[in-house]
Amino acid sequence: MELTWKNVWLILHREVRDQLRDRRTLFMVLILPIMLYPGLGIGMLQMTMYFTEQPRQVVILNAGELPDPPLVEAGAFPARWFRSEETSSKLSVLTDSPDDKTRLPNVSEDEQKQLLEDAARIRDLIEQRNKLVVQLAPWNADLADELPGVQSASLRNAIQQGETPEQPENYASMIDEYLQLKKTIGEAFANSKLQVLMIVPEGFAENLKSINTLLADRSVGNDALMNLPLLRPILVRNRADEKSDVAYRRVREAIDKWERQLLKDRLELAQLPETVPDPVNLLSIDVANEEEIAASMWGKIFPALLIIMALTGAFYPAIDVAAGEKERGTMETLLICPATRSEIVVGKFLTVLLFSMSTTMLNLISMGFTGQYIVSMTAGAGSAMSGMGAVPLPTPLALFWLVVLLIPLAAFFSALCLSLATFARSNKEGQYYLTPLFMVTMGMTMFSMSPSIELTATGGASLFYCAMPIVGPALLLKALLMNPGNTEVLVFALPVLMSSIGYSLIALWWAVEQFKSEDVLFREAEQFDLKLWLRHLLRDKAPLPTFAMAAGCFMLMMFLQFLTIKLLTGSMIGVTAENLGKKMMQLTVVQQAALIAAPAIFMAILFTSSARRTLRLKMPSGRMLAVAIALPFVLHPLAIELLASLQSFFPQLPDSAKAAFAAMSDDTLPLYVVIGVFALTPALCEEVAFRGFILSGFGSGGRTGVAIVLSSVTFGLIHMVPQQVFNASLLGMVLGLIAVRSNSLLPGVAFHLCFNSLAVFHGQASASFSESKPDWLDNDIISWFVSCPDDTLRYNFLTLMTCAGAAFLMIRWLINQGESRNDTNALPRVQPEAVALAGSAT
Amino acid sequence: MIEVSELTKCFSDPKRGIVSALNGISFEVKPGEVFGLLGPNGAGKTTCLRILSTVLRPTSGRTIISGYDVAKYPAQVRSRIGFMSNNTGIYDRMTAWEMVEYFGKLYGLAGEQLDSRMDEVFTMLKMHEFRDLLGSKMSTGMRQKVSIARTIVHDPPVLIFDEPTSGLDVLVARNVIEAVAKLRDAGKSIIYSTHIMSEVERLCDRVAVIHKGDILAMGTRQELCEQHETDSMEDLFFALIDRYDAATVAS
Repeated sequence: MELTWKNVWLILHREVRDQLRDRRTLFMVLILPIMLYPGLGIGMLQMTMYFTEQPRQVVILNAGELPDPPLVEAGAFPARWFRSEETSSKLSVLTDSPDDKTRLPNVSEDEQKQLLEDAARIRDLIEQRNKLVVQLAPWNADLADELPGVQSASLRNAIQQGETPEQPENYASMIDEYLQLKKTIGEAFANSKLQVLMIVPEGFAENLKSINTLLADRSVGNDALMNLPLLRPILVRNRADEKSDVAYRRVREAIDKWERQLLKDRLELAQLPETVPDPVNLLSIDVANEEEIAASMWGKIFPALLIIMALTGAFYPAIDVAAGEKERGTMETLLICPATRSEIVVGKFLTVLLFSMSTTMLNLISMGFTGQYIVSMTAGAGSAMSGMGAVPLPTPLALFWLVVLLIPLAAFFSALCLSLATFARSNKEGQYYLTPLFMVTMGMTMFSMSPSIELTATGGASLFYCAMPIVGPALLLKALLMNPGNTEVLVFALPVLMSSIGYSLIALWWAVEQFKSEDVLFREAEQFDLKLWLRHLLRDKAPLPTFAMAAGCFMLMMFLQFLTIKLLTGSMIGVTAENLGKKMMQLTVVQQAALIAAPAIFMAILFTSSARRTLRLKMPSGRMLAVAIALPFVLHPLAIELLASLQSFFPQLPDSAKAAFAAMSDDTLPLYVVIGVFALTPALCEEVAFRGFILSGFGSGGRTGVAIVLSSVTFGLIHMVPQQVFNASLLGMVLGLIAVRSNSLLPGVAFHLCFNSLAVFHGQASASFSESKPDWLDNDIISWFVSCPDDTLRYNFLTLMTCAGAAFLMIRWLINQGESRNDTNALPRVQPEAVALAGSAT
Repeated sequence: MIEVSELTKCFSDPKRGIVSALNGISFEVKPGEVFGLLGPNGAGKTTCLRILSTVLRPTSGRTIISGYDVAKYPAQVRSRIGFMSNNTGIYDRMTAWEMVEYFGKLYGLAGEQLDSRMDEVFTMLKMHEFRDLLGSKMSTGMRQKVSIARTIVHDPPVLIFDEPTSGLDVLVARNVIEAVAKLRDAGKSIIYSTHIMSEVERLCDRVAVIHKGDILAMGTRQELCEQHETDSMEDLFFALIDRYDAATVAS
């Protein structure tokens, strides 16, 4: 790709000026960030000033039975039972004691009476329920938990040990009754205006007093204490109703503090120290300083903000410079001027990048200043906001990293948005692509925000995360914001930047490709008709599938895999350990045939006029076949060693993959079965799909290199496990090359069969060597070639050198088999059908 | 100089399957000549002209412009042609001067050369009074003038006009035709597609009647009229098309 920077600069200059003259863009990029946050800030301030919360209603039955000190005074919980005094005013309490003259605010006298009646009805229902709970508790751990401490623990123990007494005959009907009652109580509570109901048992205060007296008088034995009835007040709430839940938590706060006071009184009476109930009496100290708390907060918030802003900042300008140009009819003018497609795309890309970065920066700056200003205004005012006053802004070093990492993020989004916008026919169509893009981005952002996902120098998967788009920069930014001085994570800066640049280049390449495709540039905005489209698919068949069909085939495979995950894991449940391997093998065969080979074969028959050509069903030359059989033998050791040396790069293997590998090296099964399942089946099924249909489809535009890369990446992705994705993608390149050069499926099948068989033999050899190491392995000369440390057969220097040399020669031979390519890329590409038609016509 | 031989172009269309828009047409255009491409809508005029201007790739056939094969040296061709159609738009948020200057620069002009050339073009097309007006504020006539100025700013030897007057009022259309005539007098090779007979009669030195991807007849106006024994371009046109359609139905 040759670029004249003068043209790029010209286009960039024009686009930027054009955007700056557009009121909508100016508004989105400049005005909105500057106005939005101060506006929001003022709004929030006003809300906190004028918004007062309605007090929640609490009803207490038998309030007269409450012991001193008083829990309720004058229709409210006194302020001393709360940490913050205001909380008291957020609860109003209605009791059923005749001398209570409380009037609830905003409630009429009748309603108030109704409330108490409802409360009484619920009390009766709850009493019934509690009787049932006691009866059912021996068989039901959840209900057993409701009983007082010692009793509950012993019942639970019995249930866990399976030592429950025999169930009574009416057990089932009691359970039904319990469930019915639960439902009735729930409905009654929801239909009443109650938010929290407290039921105090009869004689509660009296009971408490007797316990206190008995405790204080130590001459009395334990028996008297133990024989006193246990009376427990009940607190009823509805957790699904937020108002009720909030009120409940406040009531709990008051009651807990009140209970603590009761306990203190009791201990005082018994002349015991206050610390008796806390034998451990833990003191926990938080050593985090304010900067750290702030850093951890910024580390969570900023990466997510940055990603969303970089995306939206790139999206709207991208739509305007690409889809908008098509819509206004200036695209054709630009295409016939001497600027190359790459220059046009790069010029437009830089424009989008510039806007994405400026919007993000402006947003962050405006947000930061507004936040600071509001915090400084409300600091010390005692409002909820003053808590934020303790959060300082990120340090300059952290801000520096923020700006640096914004570049790869914005570049990625700019390139991606530009490609999508080029594909779109109009501004409107372009807008539709935002939602899916946004959802995927949000998903990846959430993933990187989860606390367990982080970059650590020793963490296995860190490099793997670095290689993911969006996730890599987000994680690095998170690490740097949490601890700006942390130089350890800087080793990840290079991989993150490299991968981001790589993804941006791919997206840009796609955009350039779109600019070259006359299909995309001159798509008419015609009405989409499903029937016509299907008829077109089935009627106007070309001998080879199109690019879109290949992509569709891969999507279908992935989708089928997704659908069957549950089915497959479900069928593994309850399989005994010795049968696990066998079951796994059956599933592998079914999965290969039904989910990989079948879609490709059906699509080849349905959508192409020559399934034979599509699936490359043709005899290869003898030399080609020989090379395809020889190559696995030299590539196998290289692959094993490459994977071993990259082991730390990948996350741990999931259990299912480990089980599959174990089944491969299982020597109790006949060898032909293992080879059949793990070598022959994939060799046939995967080759038909990936070197047959998918490679043919991707290559139908005449771009063999791209087709090989895409087919090998899709081949890798279908393997799911990162290690195998990597391994299979590399092998896919070789397989693709073989298929293209031989134009036959057979050499690929042979290669695949040999390669997988070698893997099986390698696994079995490793397993048998780990049991008893043969003497010859200790031989000095042999150890130059192979050795067996840590239970796996490893290849050493001499083997690897020989293999690398031989592989190089064979692959070079394969590459040289192709004819020279012509380079007329500056012209738009033609639809493959049209070429096929012209070819058949002449 | 434009030489087109055996040019074909196929598209795939969901409704009609694979459609052939051009069935091997051949013609040539010499310097100082306006070659008219006359045909109804959907005849293949635009497809043909888009191939000449390198935005579509021919399915087969050869097209040579100023000595360069369109399929092999598109970049060389692009700098030697000017292309204008009724739907090549202008940028709304650029002034006339900026727009023409932008394309001048893209075509490699710079400095004094660009200034004097732009002055020349603006004077020729009488555009000085609205040189600082934004595209969105221009009248149709002004927009069309800017389009022409953009097409000729780099003084290309070959000019391609694809229905440049369609949708314009009479006065504006007249301006366009006068401009084309001036360019012919300056020795340009011009290809001009239209479905308006009067334009052909006024402007074109030679005409090809094109219908459904085939050239039905080609020659000077006089030659065509003599061959088909009629003296009106319009009669000739309808006679040719009726005969072609009748022949396709019969076969």
